[in-house]
Amino acid sequence: MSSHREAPEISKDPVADNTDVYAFVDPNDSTKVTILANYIPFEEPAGGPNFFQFGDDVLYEIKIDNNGDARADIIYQFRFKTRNTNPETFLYNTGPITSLTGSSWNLRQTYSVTRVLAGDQGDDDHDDDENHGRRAVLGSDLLSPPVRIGPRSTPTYPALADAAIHSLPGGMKVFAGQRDEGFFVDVGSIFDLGTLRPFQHLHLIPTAAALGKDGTKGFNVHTIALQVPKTDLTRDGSMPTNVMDAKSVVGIWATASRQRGRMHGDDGRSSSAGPWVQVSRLANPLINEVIIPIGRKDGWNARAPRRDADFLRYYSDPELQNLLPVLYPGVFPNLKALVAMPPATRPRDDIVAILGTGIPNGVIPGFQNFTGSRISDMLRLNMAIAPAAAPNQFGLIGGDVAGFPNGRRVADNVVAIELRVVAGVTLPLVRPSYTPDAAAAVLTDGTQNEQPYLSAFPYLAHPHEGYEHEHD
Amino acid sequence: MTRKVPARARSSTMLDGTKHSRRTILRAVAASAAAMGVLGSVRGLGSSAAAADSSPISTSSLPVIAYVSDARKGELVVMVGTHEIVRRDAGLVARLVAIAKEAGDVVTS
Repeated sequence: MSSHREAPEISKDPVADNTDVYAFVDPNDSTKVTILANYIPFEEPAGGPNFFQFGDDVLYEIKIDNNGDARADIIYQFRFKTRNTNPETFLYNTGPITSLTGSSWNLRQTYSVTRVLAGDQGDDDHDDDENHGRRAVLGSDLLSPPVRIGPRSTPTYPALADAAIHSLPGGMKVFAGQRDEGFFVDVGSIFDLGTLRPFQHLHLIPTAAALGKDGTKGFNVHTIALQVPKTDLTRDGSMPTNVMDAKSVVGIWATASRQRGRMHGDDGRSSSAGPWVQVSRLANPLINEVIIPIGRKDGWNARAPRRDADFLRYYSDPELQNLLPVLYPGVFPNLKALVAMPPATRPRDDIVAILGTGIPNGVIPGFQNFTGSRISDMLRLNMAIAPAAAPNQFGLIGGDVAGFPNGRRVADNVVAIELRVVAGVTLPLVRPSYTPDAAAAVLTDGTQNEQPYLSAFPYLAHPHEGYEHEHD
Repeated sequence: MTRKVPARARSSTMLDGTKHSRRTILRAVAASAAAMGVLGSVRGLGSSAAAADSSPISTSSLPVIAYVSDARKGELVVMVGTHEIVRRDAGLVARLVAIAKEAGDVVTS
């Protein structure tokens, strides 16, 4: 999974679990960037009567580094508040919900959006603290849409959800609510000892070829979507136009934090106190899932990206690249020869660049998304690159510089891209003598999202309804 | 990582103030004696303590949670709202530790 239940601690706290982050130049308004931060993995659409919702006790944040130091220069904070209009019913709604202000909707959420301009913090540890920097409340009491229940309760869902897209000052837009899980992956296959297509029959424990199954099919997720003018994100307020200019690149990540202390009362209620403590983060897909070993995943989630340096060895010599030749004997002969060499002689600087620092000028003609040599997990977006007229879901390795790992669009096939990268397709960028195995270029898990994405903000499809949905 | 607590935070009278807050602290500590088993593992004390300087808050309607972060140093952390303060009060910490030992001897069914 991109980052669904990826670490032991956060797997027990789904409301605060980052699942995916997307960031791309908006195809409908190329002066703006759309950022999507998803939370709450594997939402079963029929999850009543207490359907999924954001946590009132969680601080959700989208963070932007615009000067390459892997510190948040701009932070967008989201706080939610749940209102129960009729505590005497067990129902989420007592009739059809046809408007965001309708009286039959019993359990509704509102939220606030606050922008923090962190500025020069001085102390290296203060940039994630809500009490530092210049704060501006961009919106408050903004309505989230209800979850999608069924034809009786939410009969006009798309219109209802669209009404929950709010305009914010300065040309921004925001949406926070339930969406279809747009990430696709055959999670059942991948975690069955790395079963990958089209090589199932060549696995150490072979099985017959079978089509991929999207393990997230029919599930929902909760999305915070933000559309922001590019000029709000650049370090000097300029409109990025020069691809090779460092000012055109921003690093983006999302986090969830809880207060340090929590007490459970004898009345069934709980209360919290103390400063916010980060419990989950996410930028590039599959980092904590696949790159970081299980014993360090919880620590990774609590850490700021600028402190990622001691994770470098997991990028330089990822476990999966060593496993592929073992799991698929004879399929990856060149990779097998590579990993037989001492690790210090074969660092995967291509992976370090793609996922850890951004790709510097001079590696790919006419492209860079470099944020400096400090390794940090940020989704790096070169905002001077226009949206592709005909997007390629393989992004940069498919010749489409507007796609992952230059940011990430909703339809980018990040699982296949990262599998191919780990298998060696990009190694010649830094090690010209290396010839990738033919198998590396066709490696995939064989899935696609089960329904089309929206063509406009917030881009992820409307959620599946509880009344009728399917997972197979 | 333990950081130096700003002088302004150290000089707060929060712990030396009302009977109410003292009782609240004791109740919270008794309820979370397990927290005392992770002494010295607190992270980010300095930054959070600095945050406590930024705006005076009323504790009257907010829960207060406190724990002993380092009994050996007599160090106590008190959290309210989104703030926390680190104090050194060897006497108070010693009494809390003694209460925690009493709590550990209590058999509940």
